[in-house]
Amino acid sequence: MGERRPVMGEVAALRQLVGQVQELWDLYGAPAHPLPRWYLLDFEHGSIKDDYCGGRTGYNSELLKIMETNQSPPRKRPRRDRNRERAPCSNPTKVMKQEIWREFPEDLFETVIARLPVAAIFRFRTVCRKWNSLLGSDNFSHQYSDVPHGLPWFYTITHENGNNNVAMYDPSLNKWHHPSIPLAPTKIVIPVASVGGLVCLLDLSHRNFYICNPLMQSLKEIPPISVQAWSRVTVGMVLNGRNYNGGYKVMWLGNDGTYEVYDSTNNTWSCPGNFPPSIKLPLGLNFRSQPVAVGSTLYFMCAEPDGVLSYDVSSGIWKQFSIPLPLHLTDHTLAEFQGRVMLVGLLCKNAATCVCIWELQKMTLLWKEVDRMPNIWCLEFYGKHMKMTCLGNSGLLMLSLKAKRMNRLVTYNLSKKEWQKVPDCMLPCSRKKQWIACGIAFDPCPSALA
Amino acid sequence: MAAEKGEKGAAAKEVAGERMVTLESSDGEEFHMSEAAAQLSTLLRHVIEGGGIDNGIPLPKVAARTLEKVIMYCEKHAKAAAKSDSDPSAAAGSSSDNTAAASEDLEKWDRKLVNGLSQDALFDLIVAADYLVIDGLLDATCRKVADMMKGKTPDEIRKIFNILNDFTKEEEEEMRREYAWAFDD
Repeated sequence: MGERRPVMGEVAALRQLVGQVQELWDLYGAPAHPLPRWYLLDFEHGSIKDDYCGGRTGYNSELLKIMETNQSPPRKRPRRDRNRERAPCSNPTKVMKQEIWREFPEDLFETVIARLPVAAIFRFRTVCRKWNSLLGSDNFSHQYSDVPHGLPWFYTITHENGNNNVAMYDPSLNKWHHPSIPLAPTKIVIPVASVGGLVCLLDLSHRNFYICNPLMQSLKEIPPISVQAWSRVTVGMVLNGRNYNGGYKVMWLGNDGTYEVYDSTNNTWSCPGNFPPSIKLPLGLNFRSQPVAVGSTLYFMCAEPDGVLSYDVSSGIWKQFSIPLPLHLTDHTLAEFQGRVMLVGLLCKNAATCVCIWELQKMTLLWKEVDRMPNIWCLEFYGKHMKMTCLGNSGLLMLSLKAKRMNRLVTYNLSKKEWQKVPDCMLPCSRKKQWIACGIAFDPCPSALA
Repeated sequence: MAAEKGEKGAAAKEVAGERMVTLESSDGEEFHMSEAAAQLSTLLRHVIEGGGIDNGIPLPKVAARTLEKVIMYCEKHAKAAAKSDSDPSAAAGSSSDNTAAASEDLEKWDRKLVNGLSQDALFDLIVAADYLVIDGLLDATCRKVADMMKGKTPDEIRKIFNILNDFTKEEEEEMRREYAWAFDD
């Protein structure tokens, strides 16, 4: 009879943790060491804040801080309370005195309402006819788009029971909504792109595109594409101007270099020009990566050679960039932050998996690592075969992480470098937890019309 | 003390190297404000540039306690703008962290200002900010009102602002169905 081997997974993770803490105590006995990178683990809100105090000393150091802050076992409040706490108001709900506010000047209602959360704007459309027409007016939509709003939302569709089950996530309130789509259940669609408050849905037969504002019940079908036989395509969307009022363009691109652009201002598809012969075909498009839009330029992730292909929709210019990928990388997708092109992916080395973020260095055309998921979260995936899908690719990412018998949804804020857990998405009137793997981010806009 | 042709009106007097403006509230109180701060109000800016006001600018629509807050806001923001203008690293665009921190501090200050107001005072400040056309102050005060409103039901909103519900029951129900996701709490 042979020896019994120790069970991998949990024991190995614990051993690694203990080993790292040991190293830590050895290295950082004195507090005089320059500030290491550290994390605040906030169990009550399920988030981790990364405070990058300069000088990266490797991610062992955060374990010390986590051990320190984690003195008492975390007390988990019911989700309802946690969600309420997430609301960013400084005062609890106040009684508004009628004798004061009944005199409020009419012409200032728009200004106030433009600063309300989107859900409240839609609720208040039912206050009276005047408010309803006010909140649907062009003037209001301009006011609304002039006010800086919070994080983008996520629009996801699952296809349980052969239906389109829509779930919409609001990261500022950590809340899932369940709008419906005015489409026959036989039309199974997936969200493929979004811009300016509008979302582009693709019928799985890959011929029909629909444009909608997820917050409203209307949907517009745009003319089907002329190409008959379909292989996989990647789809991008850009605005013509500053907002949806100037119209938008939708573009699809195939591996064989065929592509077309739809212009909403004339409601037609066209191919603006031949694909440049200098670019090698087939393209090796990475279909798991959504194209990233920066202004009027779309960036596509490619392989053979590894890199990025860009197309400027206004000038019609194609460019190809050869960029070597980091080692041990899987499930990688493009993202964008303040005009900078980023890469998100899983680094798998020796059974340890970690989610990493890189930024493209334009001068050298190399990916430079700028952040990674806190170690304590990555430990959860130790020794497991992981798959990651990235929903949304600008400013705020939603990462769907799946392993055997486990799946996690987290968001990553590229600006604050903050990782947050996302509450489970349940189908309405059901206790069934949805596994989210298909969706896009969008900027909720109460008046965007397709 | 006659104003020279190029000078911006006699209401702008110099005090310790800084040009000052005199304002008179609706209840007859006199206030002084730096011209730089007064520039934040589009209305005051036009009045000053127009010239010809000897004994101060009367503001019959703004009471003393409100004007006090207005001046506080404008002076604070004018100072912050002057500081970032004179900061060479900000001009070079290199220390975006500093400017981000500075604007975050300013936002915190704004929030503290509006949070400390009674509903009465907040109402008056909004009206004053609108009348004087001070965009930043109007934004901060309106955000506060939006904050107070956001958790309310449509019915509560109607009561607060004394609005009549002119929808039929069917129309209201149809709208609730159309925007069902916004009502699911």
